[in-house]
Amino acid sequence: MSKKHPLDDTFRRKLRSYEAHAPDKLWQQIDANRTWQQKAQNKFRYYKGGLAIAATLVLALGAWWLMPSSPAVQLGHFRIEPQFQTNETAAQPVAVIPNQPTPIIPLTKDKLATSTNSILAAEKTTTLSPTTPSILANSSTETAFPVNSTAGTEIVEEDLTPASRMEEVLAHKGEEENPRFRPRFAMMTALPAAKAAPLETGLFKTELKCESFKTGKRHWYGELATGTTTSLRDLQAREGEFIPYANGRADTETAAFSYNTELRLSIISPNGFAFRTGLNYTQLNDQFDYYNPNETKMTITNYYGPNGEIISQDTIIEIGTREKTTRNRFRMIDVPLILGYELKYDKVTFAFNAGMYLNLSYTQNGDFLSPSDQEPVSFSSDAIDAYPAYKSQIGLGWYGSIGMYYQMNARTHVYLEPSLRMYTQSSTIEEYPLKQNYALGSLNIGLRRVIF
Amino acid sequence: MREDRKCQQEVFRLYASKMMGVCLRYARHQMEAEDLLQDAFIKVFNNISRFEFKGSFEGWIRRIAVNTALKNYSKKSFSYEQIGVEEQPESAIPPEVYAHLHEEELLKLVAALPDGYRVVFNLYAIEGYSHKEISEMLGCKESTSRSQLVKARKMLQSQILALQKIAV
Repeated sequence: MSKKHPLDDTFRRKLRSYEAHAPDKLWQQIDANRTWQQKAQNKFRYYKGGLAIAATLVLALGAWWLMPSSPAVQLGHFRIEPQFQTNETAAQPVAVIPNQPTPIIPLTKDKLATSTNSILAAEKTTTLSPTTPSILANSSTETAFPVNSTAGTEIVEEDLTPASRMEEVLAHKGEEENPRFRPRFAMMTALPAAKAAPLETGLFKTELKCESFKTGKRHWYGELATGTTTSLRDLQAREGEFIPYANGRADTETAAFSYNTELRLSIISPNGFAFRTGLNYTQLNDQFDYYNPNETKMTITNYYGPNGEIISQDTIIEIGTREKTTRNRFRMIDVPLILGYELKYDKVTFAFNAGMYLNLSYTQNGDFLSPSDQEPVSFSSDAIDAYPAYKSQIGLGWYGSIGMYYQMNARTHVYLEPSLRMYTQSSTIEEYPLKQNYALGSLNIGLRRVIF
Repeated sequence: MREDRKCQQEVFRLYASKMMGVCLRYARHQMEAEDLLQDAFIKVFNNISRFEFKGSFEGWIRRIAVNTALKNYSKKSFSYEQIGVEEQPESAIPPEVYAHLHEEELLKLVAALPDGYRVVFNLYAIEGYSHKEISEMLGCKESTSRSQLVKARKMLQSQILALQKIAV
């Protein structure tokens, strides 16, 4: 390589290990910068904790708000007064006497609460024989009652609703020994609901009807989407004298393809309300084009004497065309906090969402015109000598979207979601002469899948 | 070490002069070299946890200093650097003409090169990178790196000749 050329070899040999004095002030500047960076990091750590707490609170509130009422079974139509529970006489086991005429037990087949269904269904379908004891005679309450024990005789059901049957029982209160009602009293004694609560009567009489059970539950979805983003940037001069500068920036910067990617957790309540949160990464790109046909560059060349002193100096002024093209990048990381409502039609679901985006990070990389001399200057957030123009966070943005979901299978949807996001704060610092606000339109396509 | 101010100061004391030599080769003047050195050490301290002890610590710092200089170069590069340079006379001067030049003189000759020439010459002739590696580092074609090197040599030789004439 360099050994092949004597010139390279000489320079390499003499300059490779060359050392020069570094001024002491450099360490002080580095130390000051280090301290500043540590302060900035500590500040971020402080806000990070606060943000985590805030996000947790919002999540907890959202989950609480979306939590449906408990789908507990209510056996209102079989609540019996405590005094109707089995008395001593009724609790006595009754011998089954074949061929003894017994009142037919009226039963209905439908509109029965869950806990009573098994008993009544058994009662309904059992064909009793003289040797078959009553089902209820074997119940845990040891309650028995005469049944039609005629071999091959099925119990005939009357077309009575549970409500009318209850009213019939209540009308015959005190007739527990009546063979017609004894089975009914005994059966009711066996029901858990009979012990759970007294029967409300009068003004507080419970309406005797069947519970309409809620079959829904909350759904938790993981959603991953990506798509194009269009940046509608608004540049405004803070003072009138900077309007030409704002125009200069608008002329030299052109929007380029931008995109966003979002990972969300969606909690959908049975009634269709939704809470969504997660992380969104957005990268806004634009192109900076600078062209100056009369750029001037000055090069000073020193000439040295035998002792190293400067004996002559040439100043070369070059005039030429300067072209500079830079791809600018603005990266944003946000936490979406979205409330929505979903309407489902067969396999298609429409979601209407609104909420806010909490910006966690806003970094920049690229060049723009300097406000001072209209020359290209870097505004990169990681460059120390960059022109200070942009904030590291831009606060809250309002958000609205309409999602269209198509159910591919029981657990997976594909969806399309156009959205609009508007940040209320300027992305530039107060000292910078322009305000720069963002409105972002996105069209995302994504997949969502049931998590649990 | 990232949080230890005394350790960092000791690292700075040990390597500052060596890295200043590197920065001077890439910078146009002393002030720019100081800026480069400052940026390089801030990066060193911020990324100290990434050093994997696989190579020499000095080499790692040197690499950071060179990368910092390259970044600085890419931000300030001019597209018209070649203006007028092609007319420089090519003169194959014997090595003994410049063999006696001191480090400071060589450094000043390098510093007088246009940005693009200086960077390529530093990377190829002094750091020892290949044209392929340089093209990847600078995001240019290999042929560009080669032509920049040739032109840098021409310019250096002409400057050396000028020095010789003045000395005579």
